[in-house]
Amino acid sequence: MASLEVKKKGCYVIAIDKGVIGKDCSAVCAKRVAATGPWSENGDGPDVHLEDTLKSGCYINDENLTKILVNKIGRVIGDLEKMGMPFNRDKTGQKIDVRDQAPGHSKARSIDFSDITGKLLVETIYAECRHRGVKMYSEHPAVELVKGEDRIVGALVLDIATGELMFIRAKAVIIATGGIGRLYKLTSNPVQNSGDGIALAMKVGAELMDLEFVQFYPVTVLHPQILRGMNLNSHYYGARLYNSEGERFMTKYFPKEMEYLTRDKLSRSIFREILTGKVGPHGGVFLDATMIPGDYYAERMPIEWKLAVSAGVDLTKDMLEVAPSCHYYMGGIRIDEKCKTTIKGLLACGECTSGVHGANRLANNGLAEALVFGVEAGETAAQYVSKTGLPPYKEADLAGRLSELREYFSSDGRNPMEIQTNIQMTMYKYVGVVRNKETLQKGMGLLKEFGSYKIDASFGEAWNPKVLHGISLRNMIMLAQGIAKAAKERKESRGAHYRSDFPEINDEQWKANIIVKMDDQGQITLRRENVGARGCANWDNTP
Amino acid sequence: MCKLGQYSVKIYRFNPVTDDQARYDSYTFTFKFDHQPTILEVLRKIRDEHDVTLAFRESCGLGKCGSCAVLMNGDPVLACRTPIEEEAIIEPLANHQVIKDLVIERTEFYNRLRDERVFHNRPDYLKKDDKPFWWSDRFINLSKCIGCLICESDCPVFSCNSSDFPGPASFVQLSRSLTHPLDLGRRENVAWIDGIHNCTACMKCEHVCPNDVHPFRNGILALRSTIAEKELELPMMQQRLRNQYGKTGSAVPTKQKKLKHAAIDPQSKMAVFLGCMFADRYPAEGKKVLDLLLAMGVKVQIPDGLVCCGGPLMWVGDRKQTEKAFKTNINILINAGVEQVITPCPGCGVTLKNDYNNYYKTKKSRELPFIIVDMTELLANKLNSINLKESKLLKVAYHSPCHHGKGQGLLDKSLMVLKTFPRIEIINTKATNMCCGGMTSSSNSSIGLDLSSKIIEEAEKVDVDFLVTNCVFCRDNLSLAARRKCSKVKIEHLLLLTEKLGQKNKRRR
Repeated sequence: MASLEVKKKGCYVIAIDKGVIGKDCSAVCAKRVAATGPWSENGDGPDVHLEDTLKSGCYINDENLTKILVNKIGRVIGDLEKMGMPFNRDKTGQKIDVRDQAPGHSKARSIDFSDITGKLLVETIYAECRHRGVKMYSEHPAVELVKGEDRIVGALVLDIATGELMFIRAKAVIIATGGIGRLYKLTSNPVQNSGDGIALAMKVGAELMDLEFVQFYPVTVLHPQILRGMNLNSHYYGARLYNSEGERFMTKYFPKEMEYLTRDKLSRSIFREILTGKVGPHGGVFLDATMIPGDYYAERMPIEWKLAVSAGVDLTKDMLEVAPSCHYYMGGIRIDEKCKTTIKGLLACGECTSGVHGANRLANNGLAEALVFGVEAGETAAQYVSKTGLPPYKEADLAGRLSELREYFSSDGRNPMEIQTNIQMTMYKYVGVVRNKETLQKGMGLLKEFGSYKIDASFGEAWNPKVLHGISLRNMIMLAQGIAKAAKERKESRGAHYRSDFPEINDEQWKANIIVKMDDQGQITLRRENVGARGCANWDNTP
Repeated sequence: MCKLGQYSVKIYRFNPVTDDQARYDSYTFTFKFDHQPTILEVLRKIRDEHDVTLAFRESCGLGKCGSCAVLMNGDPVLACRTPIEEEAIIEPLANHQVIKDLVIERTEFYNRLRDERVFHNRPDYLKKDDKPFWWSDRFINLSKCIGCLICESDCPVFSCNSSDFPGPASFVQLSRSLTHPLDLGRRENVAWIDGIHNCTACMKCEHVCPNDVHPFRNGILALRSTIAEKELELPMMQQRLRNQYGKTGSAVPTKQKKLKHAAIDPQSKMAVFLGCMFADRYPAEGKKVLDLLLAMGVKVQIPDGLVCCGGPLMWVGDRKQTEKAFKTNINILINAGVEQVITPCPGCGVTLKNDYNNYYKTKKSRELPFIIVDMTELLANKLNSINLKESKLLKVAYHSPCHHGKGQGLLDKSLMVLKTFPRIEIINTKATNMCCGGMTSSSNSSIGLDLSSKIIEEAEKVDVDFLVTNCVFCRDNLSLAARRKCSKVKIEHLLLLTEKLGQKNKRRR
């Protein structure tokens, strides 16, 4: 979306993607967009949407960003329709149909198309990008951002197909790398989402915010493997949870509501039960959804239903092993209303940024954020690059980065896959749904150890998974340390962040954001700032 | 519930930069599982525990993105959604350039979409009219395409020449734009230039699609119909077909007179639908088919006035005449009061079984009052009634026509019939499931010939006496290719061969 917007303004832009372009998280996970517009029911509008979002975010959202989200999403949806994006029509065929009221929304405002909304949105935008001549490179992950004296001068990019590194000079770089699902053992995100963009921005000294807020989806299949990572919502329709001893454990935690709970509360209960050790062979609890008829699945989740049938799993008869999974990341790079970060020439948009959702994301707002801020970032970048020249860069900037990389890759290093699994287990166990001082301390210790490992890989080999996973591993460890540190700092429970040693919300002390920054020595520093404080430098007017 | 499973997996390894040729690495696992592991799971296991350099693509792992398509034992599948077989050979998708191991070059597909200008075409200056519209079922179906390129991997014409035929996946996207109610692009023109008429109508793409998209029915046929409606120029043979039908009611130039035969009994509850080939082009062979029916003790009627089944017309895109043909034939068959319609032609069979039923259901919202039986099915059930002569030992390969094996799922029945032949050795070759390119011959004869030559080559490799098939189109195509190549392989029609062997037996008695 951002690159399309830049191109529309007549600037030269290339889009690089770690995976295959068009096969990203929006395409596979996103099912609906929350938006208000001509299709809204009576009494709904941006103001109501704003209030819902702020409430869900426990009032630590950057209200200016949230306002942009709710005010502009309607227009963006209209623009997408002009690009050929289909949305379900109502009976009259005159306007978009709004069917479901998603949990947390006070009105029905989720629009969709069949169950492939995200996929079609991505396809529509890419078709338009192809048409307008945006150069797109699949499987070209950014390895390093290169910073000159005061601004970003470009990025080191790996061409996976040849294994060669290249340096792309640019006036501005927009980061839109999405979430951090792969930092955790269980996630619904695709494999590319390991938070690379956030870590790269951190490395060049950009400020990050709200790193401690990771949203978990309570009921995700852990086993059978074929369905692993599939989010289920059958607990809203009467499915029950049991531990390995056949005990309906929700009676212990929420005897009144049982399984009919919000995502964060249910996640916490399941995670606590997992900690007691009464778990199945794969470390999860059991979901009994046998009371739900097969037609329901076949109609609502046709792909998943077929998947289960092909694996010989009968969802109406078999129990599934489930656990909470990493679903969405509220934290990330700190941006202002124009999507600018604190580093000159660096912009960010989408899930990798922070502030829009606060402490907890409201359902269906994720896709909306990606669309709205994509446009914003594109507009800003186009404006900025048309006023500024190509920034000068010194060989030394690049050489420093390269020697760092060479040190990191060595032939006596370790297998990246092994470390990756360890990180995922550590994060899930110690920096997961329920945290406290001890677990965080332990997690940080382990992460520090992983950070000292070297990786056995080298550049120059075609399609070498070692290099691909090696470079994201470095980012994963760095970001994971940031998350753990911020989580340790916030001594309260708010939204998606839950401390068992501080289980209450503490508005007096903690209605604030934690700003994370890496200093010149490579140390992660924390700073507390009140909600709404504007910290981003205004580099727009200084060519 | 846990079981132990042994899996032996062979994986294609190839790095075009350093290796001269591909090699296959073998791995054997014992899996403890309560549900069968998927291919992707096994690939990850190999990468994580055995060889970190194994390259393969993966993304969502839930069958939604289409990154992980590979070949398992020759069949294109999504690795994340397919349980692995106990003995499996995993290869990259066919018909694409390999970057490394199981990773294929996908950029060509995106370039094709760019060249075909697949984007929403509705200029901004056009005011949005407030006409109500809905999304058609066809549009929703086509929207489900995840671009996994599995259909391209299995497409015979695409494998021959991707510059003459950009593959089903591209046409799905074109047809989707065509079906978009607000789109103003001239998609049919692009499709015409891109060689949509080279599609051979084998419908393999329909069967392999993991998301139940209908690349042929909703994609290619929709575009072809639009081309025919807009009266764009069709390939010569296909245009001739349309004209012939208008004149004779048959897909071939001459309509024969009514057949007279001992197997014909106007009172029978069974009818035979011989099809244009047996009824009009080769009436002598049509009589032999009736002989065979007689030998099986089946009496049939051939109702007056039957026309071409409409299949070829449908595949050319002539929707008007197709519906006319459907209507005529259905009325005649219902008026004749038959309960079963037997057809010796796979092309007619697939049309009668699928499209007649669909047509009747949409018009009358109930099932057809008769059932359609392919003659090989009938033969497989009545094999005991025919005494087959013991000939000298014959080595035979079988070619399954696309509309028979995959289209109607009758590969097993044909092999069953062949196996009961005395002293016949059936040799398994790749020729069984390849397409002879019959329909392509009508627009681009060189591709058609290429495809059938490939089958002949496969048959020659194993040195067979006969290549047996059950379709007259396939037989003619393959014979032509065999003659061109001066090959010794003889092509036989399964039904006619059965009849021949049975006939000799009778004479000897």
